[in-house]
Amino acid sequence: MKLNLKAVCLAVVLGAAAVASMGQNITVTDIVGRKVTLKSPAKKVILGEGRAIITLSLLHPDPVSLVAGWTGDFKKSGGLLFDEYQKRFPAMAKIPVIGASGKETVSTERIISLQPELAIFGAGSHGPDARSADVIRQLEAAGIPIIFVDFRLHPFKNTIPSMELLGKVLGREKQANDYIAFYKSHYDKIEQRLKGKNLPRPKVYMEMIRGENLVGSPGKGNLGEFIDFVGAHNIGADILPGEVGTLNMEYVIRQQPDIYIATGIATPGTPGFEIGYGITEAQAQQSLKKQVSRPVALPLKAVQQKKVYGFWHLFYDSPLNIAAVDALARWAHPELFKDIDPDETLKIINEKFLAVPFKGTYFMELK
Amino acid sequence: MSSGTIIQAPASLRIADIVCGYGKRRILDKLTLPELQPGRVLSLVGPNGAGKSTLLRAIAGLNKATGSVHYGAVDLLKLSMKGKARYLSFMPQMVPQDVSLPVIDAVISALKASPFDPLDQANASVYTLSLNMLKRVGIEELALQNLDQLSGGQRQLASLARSVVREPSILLLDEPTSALDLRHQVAVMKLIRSFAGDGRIVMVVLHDLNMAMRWSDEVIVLKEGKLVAAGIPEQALTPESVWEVYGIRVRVEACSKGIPQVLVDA
Amino acid sequence: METDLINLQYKRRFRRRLLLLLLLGVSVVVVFCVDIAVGPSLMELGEVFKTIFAPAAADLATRVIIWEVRLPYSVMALLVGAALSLAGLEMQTTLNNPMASPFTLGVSAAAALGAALAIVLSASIPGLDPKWAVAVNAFIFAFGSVMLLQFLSRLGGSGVEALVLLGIAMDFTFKALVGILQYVASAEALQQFVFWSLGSLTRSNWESITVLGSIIAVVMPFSIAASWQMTALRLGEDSARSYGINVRRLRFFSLVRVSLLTATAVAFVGTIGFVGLVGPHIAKLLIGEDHRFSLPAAVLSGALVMSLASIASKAISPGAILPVGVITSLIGVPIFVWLIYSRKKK
Repeated sequence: MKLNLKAVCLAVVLGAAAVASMGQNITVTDIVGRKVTLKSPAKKVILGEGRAIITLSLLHPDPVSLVAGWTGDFKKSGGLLFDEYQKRFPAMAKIPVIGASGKETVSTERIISLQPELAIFGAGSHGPDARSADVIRQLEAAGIPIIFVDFRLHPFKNTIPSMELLGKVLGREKQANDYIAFYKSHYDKIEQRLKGKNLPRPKVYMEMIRGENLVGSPGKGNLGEFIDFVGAHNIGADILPGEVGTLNMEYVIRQQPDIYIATGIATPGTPGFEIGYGITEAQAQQSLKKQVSRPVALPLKAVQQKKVYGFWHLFYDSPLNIAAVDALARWAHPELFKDIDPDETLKIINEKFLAVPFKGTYFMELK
Repeated sequence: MSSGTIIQAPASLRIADIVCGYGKRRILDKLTLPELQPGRVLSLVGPNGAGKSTLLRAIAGLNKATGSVHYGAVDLLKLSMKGKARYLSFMPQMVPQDVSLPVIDAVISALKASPFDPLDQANASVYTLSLNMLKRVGIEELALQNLDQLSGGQRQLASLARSVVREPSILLLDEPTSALDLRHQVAVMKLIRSFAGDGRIVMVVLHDLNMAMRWSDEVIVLKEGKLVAAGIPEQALTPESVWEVYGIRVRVEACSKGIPQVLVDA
Repeated sequence: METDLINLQYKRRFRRRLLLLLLLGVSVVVVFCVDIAVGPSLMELGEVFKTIFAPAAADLATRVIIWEVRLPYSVMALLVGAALSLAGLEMQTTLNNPMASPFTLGVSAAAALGAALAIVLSASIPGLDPKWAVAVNAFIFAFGSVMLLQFLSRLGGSGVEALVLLGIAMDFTFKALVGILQYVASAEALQQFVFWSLGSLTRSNWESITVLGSIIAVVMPFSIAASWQMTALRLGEDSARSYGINVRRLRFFSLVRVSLLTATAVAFVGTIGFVGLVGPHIAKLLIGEDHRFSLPAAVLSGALVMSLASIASKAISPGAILPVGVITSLIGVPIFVWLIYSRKKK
């Protein structure tokens, strides 16, 4: 395995060198409109958010080999998925850490000292993003190119261009294009079917659960865009001006949403909505049941009619968002999308693309 | 009960071997004073840092001290603060200026807050007791004014009323006149004489030597925690003792009314 | 002046302060009713009160809105305001410092540290149901910080100035430790902590209301019983001690009350600032510093400010809930400034 890896690396390096010698610089325009030129596909990259390793693992069988440094957030947020990556790629433990989760913890000096060929940041992210002017200025001065991708601010507009970008700068265009084709087929199916139908938009109430409390509901943007895209109506978007905010439960009860959806990331034994890697269907069921047994949830029509759903929160900032979109489409219009199965979508992604398949429960319907 | 009665039977005060200090620094080292009879006003004079306030605070129990302070047969230093409160009252030099509280309530609080309540012995209400005390110090018309609306002199009179309303046998006053105008200085000193007239022992720290000469029965002169002179004012306040403690040349001469005056030469 | 006239005026003044308390109480009731009446669903006032007094007759949605959404939110606002304001006044008097409040001397920062430990590191008492971890941690740390403050100041044997300075030093220390925890926190835990620390009444339920209500009911009588001693202490520690008051004991038990009140309130609703500072000052400006009146007045003024904040947090953007900790400052400051200026004119 090690030998093989080395051989692959060598081949890639030689290939890259060949490209470089032909004087074919790679020039791309990133998501925020910056023109970036690379001499050759990057083999040593910095991840502004550690969890972007999941994105890389759609494009590369050994995503860890590409990473020259990252923030510690995947370890903190990844839960059991992180452990699985660690098992598969022991080298992951040795990836240099450039900061904790927040952008203010990132050390530019550390990034420069690692001599990466490229830094990949999210346009809006917990790590350094398009607003981190100092980091951008310092890295550019040190000759380290930065590209901004985005799966979070405008997931529908930016997921495909972001994947195209990553394919180009990493020299993995075939894999990127394959994923884009898969993504588009699912995306188009939903868009096509909804077009011109003028279906009534079911009202959706979505809450994000962390620990004992819900920290908020999506407003305009991000998960709100997901709901909008599948032909449903996010009741939070009528009230909340930002991405996230707290809704008055009285408003929610009076709105009588047709559908209740929770997102969670809790691991077993911690308070909150348990769902994600390594969580069984039964655990997730039990934990979601607890959420809708709160007295304030009882008068909700969605709860009484058992239109209660949940999914893993981290789909909100990932090219895997298509699986969540499939789930939302299915829940919003079960008749129209009865052939769509998010678990099936995830299964294909697992088999065809992901270096480390997602195991566990990611989507669920309360029984 | 009318104001002007002390609760304990009058007795003399014997202060002996007082040792008191802050941390390792000893301010008073085995200080012994002549016996003090009830009804007498004792002025404590001496330069800053001589230990005048420290002595008062030690007697009041506010600073830890060893030695003995006998009031009759009772050693006050052996009593708890609560026990001491039956005998004495300490009036600090500074009173908070910013309290919005009616003068009468401030006086009442001195009675009500104390675990030892002189009402045990009286039939009058705290209110009446307090108002009578304000009358005695001459500020009953200020009874309903808030403390933060008073002048410095008025506030000092209110503070004096608070200290005396509990009818202590021993009154310890730390520089009661130092920030006052002449009218209020005289008013305070007259009151002090009148309180002593009830049979109380009054110990008062003063900086003005003529004031000590004019109003006290006895004076003690302190320097660096040691007794330099003691006795009736003319005996204690001499050019020699003043030179010794202050390093200032003075004369003591009788004025045209025959009252001794300290005149500064230097 | 005639003694009779003084007597008359004294009685009148006493009655006026009672009347002020009564007025303050009535305003609290009125504002509380408005608070309950305000909600995004524009229910009729009659329906609101019918549901309060005869919940069984209402439909499920209305019943839940009144009994599980509006009432816990509004009642908790009253209790938190009362508890923090009472704690603030006791602190200002016992520490002889008008700037003292649970939020300036590290009590709430300690609670935040406890909460952060539970949220970020899942560290709490072994065997405790994780759903209580945040509240229990916040309580233990807040209570512990006051005890530590007492212990440290006793070690130094120094006065209240040292106590206040130690409190400020502890405040900075706890905030620094919270900062370190935030540094190691995951993005999601950080989001949860920030949400907690903004202070929110949406977490209120009847369990927490019962606990906080009982704490206030138990602590209040002791506060009132100490009111004359507190007034005497306000007029100077030395004179108070010479009147036989055990000031050290008075201060100790007062700070125990402060820590109970603050720790419980903060444990349930997060760090809600300013009411602990502004509530007591409103009370003092209105009614003076006779603690027989200023203690209950502080309870009422704190409840009033929080009730107003509760209304604002629901009404500014109907349908959404703004963090009440932020709103409290926005509501409290204008009241405060107005009182200071109107008093100056007098």
